[in-house]
Amino acid sequence: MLKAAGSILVFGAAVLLGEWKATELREQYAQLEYVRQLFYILQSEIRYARSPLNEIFSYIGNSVREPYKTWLLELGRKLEGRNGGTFADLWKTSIGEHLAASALPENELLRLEELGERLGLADLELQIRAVELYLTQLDASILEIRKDMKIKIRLYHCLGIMGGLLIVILLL
Amino acid sequence: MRGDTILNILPRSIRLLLKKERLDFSLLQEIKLRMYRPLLLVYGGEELFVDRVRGEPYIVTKEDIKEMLDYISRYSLYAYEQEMKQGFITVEGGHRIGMAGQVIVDGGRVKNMKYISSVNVRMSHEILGCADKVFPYITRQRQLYHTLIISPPRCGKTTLLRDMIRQISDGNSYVRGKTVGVVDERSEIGGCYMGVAQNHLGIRTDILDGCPKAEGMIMLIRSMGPEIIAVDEIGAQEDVHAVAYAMHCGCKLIATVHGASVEEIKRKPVLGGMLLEKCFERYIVLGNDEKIGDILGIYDRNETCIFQGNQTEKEVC
Repeated sequence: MLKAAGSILVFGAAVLLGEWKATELREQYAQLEYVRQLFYILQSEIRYARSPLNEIFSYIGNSVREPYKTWLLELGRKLEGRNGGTFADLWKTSIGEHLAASALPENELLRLEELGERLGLADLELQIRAVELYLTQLDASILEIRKDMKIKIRLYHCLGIMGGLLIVILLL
Repeated sequence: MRGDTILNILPRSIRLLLKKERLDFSLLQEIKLRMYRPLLLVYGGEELFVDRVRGEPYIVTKEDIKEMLDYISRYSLYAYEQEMKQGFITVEGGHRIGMAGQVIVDGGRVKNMKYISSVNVRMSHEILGCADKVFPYITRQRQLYHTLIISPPRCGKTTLLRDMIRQISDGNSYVRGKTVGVVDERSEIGGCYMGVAQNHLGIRTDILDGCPKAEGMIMLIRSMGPEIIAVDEIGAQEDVHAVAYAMHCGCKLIATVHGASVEEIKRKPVLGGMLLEKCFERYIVLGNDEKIGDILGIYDRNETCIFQGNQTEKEVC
């Protein structure tokens, strides 16, 4: 009786582990799509309203969900405060502080940090191109994840079930 | 508050020095930063060097200029591309930040500026009540005359215009409160921040911030129905045409122009023609012989002096 209960628990845990990994992948995909929307707004604010970055961040920050809300509002406040540091430094620090724990993959966070080095410069066209380039790279990442997502999710589920069964068999 | 606005746009090292100096910001007129040169203030009409240590003036560094550019553009130089072409940016509070460096020319026209080596902060001064003495001469039966303020640079024409707008908009004993439309091309009159005027412009004032004067005047007439239109520093051909158009739309005009006398303005191309046609009904001439904002004289449309500055108030020449 005890063995059966233990086996069910171990099996259940393995299945949940598989499901958790699949959810993580889905979340990563959803976050990337959300970031893409966010940067479309940023691009249009730069292109059409020509607003300064602090105003754009405050404006977008008020209408997005966490953790982007805190990230953008805090960054906007820092830029407005004019208390030293280059834009690239402030941008990089804020990403580390507010987005490191988000579901965004590591390589996307690095790419986002690099974008900070090309923002805030004198040429409007260059700003738009820099955001465009980032969006193109983001599109490629989203496409790549979407392409493999179904297979990976199935794989995580199967691994969870099969792994659970294997452990149960070994334990019995 | 005013001091804070100014200090916020300065590099941190200079910010600290000026805080130590305990300046009266109402007397501060200009802050001049030139790369590898001493920091210079124009304070109460006189030049003042700021010492880093006793007897040793503070030398402005390349990093200071770079930091300041970040602050004045709020880390977004691209947003000020149009202003940079003109050589200055206006910041919150209406302070004008002039810049000099290497100009980028494209097709024979100034496109932008790079390698900025000099920055000049010109303070905007809001002096409530400074227009009190002109109202008896520019109004009749509580109605305003078309008025042109003539003044050399740094003699307080924008300050006077700002207070005139405030008083006309709110109304006073000489004029009933009127709807005033302001076209603030350089953001100096209202000192707007995110479209909202930071200076007092009265309760019936609508302001078009950062808008070219000629287009702005037409837009205001069509959209806001102003009784008075106020513009700063007219001179270009299209500005003068728009002023004439506004005058023929039933609006009263208050405008400023760079110059030292009515005679000098008459010699200006295009605008001179308006003076010959006697379009303006009053001219206020400013100077800074004794102090900034001195009214040298007020003239009627026939250029007859109706007030002379060195005489007592309301004394007619």
